[in-house]
Amino acid sequence: MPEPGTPFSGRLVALLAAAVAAVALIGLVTGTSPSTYRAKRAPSRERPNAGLVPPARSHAELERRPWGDGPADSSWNESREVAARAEVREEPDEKTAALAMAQRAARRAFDGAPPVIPHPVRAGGAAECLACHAEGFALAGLRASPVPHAGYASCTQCHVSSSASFTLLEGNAAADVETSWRGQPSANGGIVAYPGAPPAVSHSTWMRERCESCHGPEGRAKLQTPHPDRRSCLQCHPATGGRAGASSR
Amino acid sequence: MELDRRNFVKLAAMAAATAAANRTTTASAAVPNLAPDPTPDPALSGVSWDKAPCRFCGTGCHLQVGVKDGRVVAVAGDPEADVNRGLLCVKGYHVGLALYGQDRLTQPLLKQNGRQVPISWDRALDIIADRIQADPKGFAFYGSGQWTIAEGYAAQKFMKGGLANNHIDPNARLCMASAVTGFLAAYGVDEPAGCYDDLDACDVLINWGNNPAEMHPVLFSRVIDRRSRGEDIQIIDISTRRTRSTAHAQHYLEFKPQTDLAVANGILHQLIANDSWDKAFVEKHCAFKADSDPPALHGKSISFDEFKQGVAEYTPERVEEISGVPARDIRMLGELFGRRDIRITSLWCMGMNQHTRGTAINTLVHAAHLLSGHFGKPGDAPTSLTGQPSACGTAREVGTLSHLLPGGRLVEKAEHRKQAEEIWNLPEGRIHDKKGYHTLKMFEQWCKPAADGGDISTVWVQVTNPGQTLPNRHKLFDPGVADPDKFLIVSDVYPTATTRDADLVLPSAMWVEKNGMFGNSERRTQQWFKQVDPPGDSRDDVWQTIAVARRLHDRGFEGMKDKDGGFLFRVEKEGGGEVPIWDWKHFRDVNVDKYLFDEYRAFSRLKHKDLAPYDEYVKARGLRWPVVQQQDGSWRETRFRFAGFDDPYVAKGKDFDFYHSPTNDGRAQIWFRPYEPPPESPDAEYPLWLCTGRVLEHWHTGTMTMRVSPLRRAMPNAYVEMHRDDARALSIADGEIVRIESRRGTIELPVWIEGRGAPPRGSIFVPFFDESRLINDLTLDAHDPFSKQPDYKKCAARVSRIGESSNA
Repeated sequence: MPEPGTPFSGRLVALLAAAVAAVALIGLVTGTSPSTYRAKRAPSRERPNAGLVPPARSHAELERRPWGDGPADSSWNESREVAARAEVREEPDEKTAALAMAQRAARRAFDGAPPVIPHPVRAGGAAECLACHAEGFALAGLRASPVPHAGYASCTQCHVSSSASFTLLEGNAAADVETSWRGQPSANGGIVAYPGAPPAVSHSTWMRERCESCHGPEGRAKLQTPHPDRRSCLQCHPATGGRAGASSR
Repeated sequence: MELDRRNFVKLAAMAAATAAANRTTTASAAVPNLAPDPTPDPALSGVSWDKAPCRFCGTGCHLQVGVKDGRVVAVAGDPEADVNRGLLCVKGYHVGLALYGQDRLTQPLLKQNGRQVPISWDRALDIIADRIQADPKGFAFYGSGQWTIAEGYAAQKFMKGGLANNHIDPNARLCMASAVTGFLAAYGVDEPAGCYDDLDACDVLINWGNNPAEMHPVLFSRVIDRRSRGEDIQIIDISTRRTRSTAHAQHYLEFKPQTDLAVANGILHQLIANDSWDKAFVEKHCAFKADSDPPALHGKSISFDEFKQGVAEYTPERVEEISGVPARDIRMLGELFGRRDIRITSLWCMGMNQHTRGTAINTLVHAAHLLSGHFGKPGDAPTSLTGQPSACGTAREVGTLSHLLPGGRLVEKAEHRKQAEEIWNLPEGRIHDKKGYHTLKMFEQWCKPAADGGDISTVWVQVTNPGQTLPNRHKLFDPGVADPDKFLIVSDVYPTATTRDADLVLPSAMWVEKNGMFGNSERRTQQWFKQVDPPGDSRDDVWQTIAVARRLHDRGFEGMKDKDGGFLFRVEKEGGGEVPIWDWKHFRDVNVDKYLFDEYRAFSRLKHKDLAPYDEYVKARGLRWPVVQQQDGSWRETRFRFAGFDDPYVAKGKDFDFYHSPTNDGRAQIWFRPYEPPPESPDAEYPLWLCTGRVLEHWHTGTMTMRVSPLRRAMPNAYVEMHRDDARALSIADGEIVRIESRRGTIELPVWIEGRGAPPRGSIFVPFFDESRLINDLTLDAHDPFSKQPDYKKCAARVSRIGESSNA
């Protein structure tokens, strides 16, 4: 705990550190312990785990009640995965799915382009990015995707912020580019060979070796897998989509 | 708990990296080779993929370009390419968008009564031919390291072989010229001995005034990603300001501008003081040099004792005094270079080249590697990087500089002129025997009125933007624009700071809208085919040059004919008969690139820069020269030049041979060159150092990248980086728009404190990509005496609040 008299910013730093550590622990637990998920039932319109899902809390609340303080907090640790399952068990909702795809597309110039970063960045090294994106989290309405291609250390090489973090000159604030570019859109779901077959992966798997980045608990609703306990995705979902491996010339 | 998490993340990272690495080597097995799916998703159908190198920097990443319905729709890194192994940077991923800005130039434009109005190609060709015929000696061609090999080759053949006029120079003069003179002075032949493979093997990476995290991201990540795989690599950042690369470095050595020469001399001093120089290597393979009087590129030979005396002054304490780098860090560098058990790679780019002592610092870094023997083994290399995709392949190798002929030949050497005349089938004596104007001189002579001896009347600019990039613009660009007797022709793809002042604008095809070949920083020649049509009436630069040549030919201009009366760019059909490639309708009847490249190849042997036939490059993801044919008929590239284990031109049994040695004895030259102060330093009136440079998101003048939405949003305009204390002293707030002045010009920019980079007290940094704020109004045109490359990295400036008197 911070010393009495520690400035507000000091406490905030301590709090953030605690939050990061906690998220990491969750990642460790969920990533390594066997799942408690059992047999699949017929889809239900009800949220079977509704009682287990903690109410979302604002950052202000988090600051007043650090982890582990109250009843809601004590359930939070184990509820993350459950919450994700609760969501994906909802009936397919085409509107939600379309929204997820649209949100995804809004951050990419074409299918396969590195997504832009929806927040300001200053990062020089990877540590600042990995503080949130190593394992990812969903919190207070924000979602940090886990990196699908760990091992690369210069995040800003490919991902740039969607807005500048310094003063814009007059005329530039609204300036966008007039372009006729029409990027290759993402495929809307993979091919299903026969009714009941596992759908094929509809995009390139290059630099996407960690499927849970988009399809895990932090993924957008409707992109999440209904069976997060199965870890060998390509065992059932053939990776046929995307681009050429090598051109013939 | 924190430790657990770290280990967990690290393990995950390593697992993923291993997976990625495995995939690289067995890509065909791990990544489906797009066996096209029998029932593809409609969104994915109809995309065809072909190879191309990236359009931007000198790294030369290999892309796969996805084309659908005649338009580029996607871009991916090529997993099987040695250079980038499937990875790109944010510019590369978005390069396809650069074709589709709404304001592409699509028709020739002629300035009439102050307005640019559309004209036909036929009229445009007549206008150029008129200007040339009126004053063939006053015509100059200003080209580019973005010229494809065929474009650069055609342009210099047109000038040197056709007009008998050597006033052709590329923007590489502003970019790479000091690296060239450095290589020539040390090894007698241009371009690096090592290659990117060094980045996989080095234990220490030294960045000399270099920010590869932003400027060559794929090469930088090739090193730092090794750390993610658990390797131990030391990165040393020797710089004048903190950058994104600094964040990855263990050591940051901050020197005062210009004093990199003292730092390099400090290393040489330590190697001798510690008696840790590589005696065996030096005695067998090196000799010593110093500046002659009068100064010359190859200076004078000196003895080892004279060399020792020269560097004796540069003790760690003395170097600290000059440079501000602590003596203990100089000792640390000296100790690293003195070790035989590690491999050291040095990388540099504009920091060392755009320097009034550019040749000197280049030779000193080579000297540190040669004296210590950190040379020629994988991971031991002094390697200069290029900023443009074909600075090596076109600007340097093809010989588009004003003193060169193709393949490293010199216009002032009778034997070399004769060889060129023979290959081009020209009458003897056609090629002019004096070198032409280098870039700064060319524009100086264009800006000077004819009455005052300004003997350049017309400049044709292709694939570059001098209106934004020339230093001291008010001196070297504006007067020529204002002079009604001077004429400016610009071939480009978008309106730029140069086209807006042009008398004649020619719309060009770009990148995969045409066939092309580039040569990257590691001697790798790359080829691609046209994949989409250029918009409107825009046409290939190489066609533009050939069409003007033909127009002159048809008007009876003798220079456009060879000695048998044939056209300078004669292309024979298979089975005989000439193809009228100057006629746009017939330009694509043959592959003009292939024809020109196979002609150019004949020049490549003299300096052992052997190129393979065109068709070999069609099959390959680039080949590094010398590419030498094997007994079995296959073509083998060379990774490590001068090294016996890899270079086929080193005789069997020799471990090294510098076979183009300036002293003709197989030895490389270790130079001593003293530190000298810069031509302009901060003073009471202009108290700050001004450094200019680039940012990750934009490539050079932003002509292309400012039309790419994700890049422009991330970096919409220029700014000035400033130290917090300097800002406070002037009561300037972060984000405030301030005035920046030098003795040459003024601009206004927002201040960004501790932003992308962080300069130390007393120095500011401004990127040059923003055409609405031309920082080159302020820069200095002082230049290196050998390379003639100007210094964009240091001049004196001041910052003031707007509204307050600038003289306060």
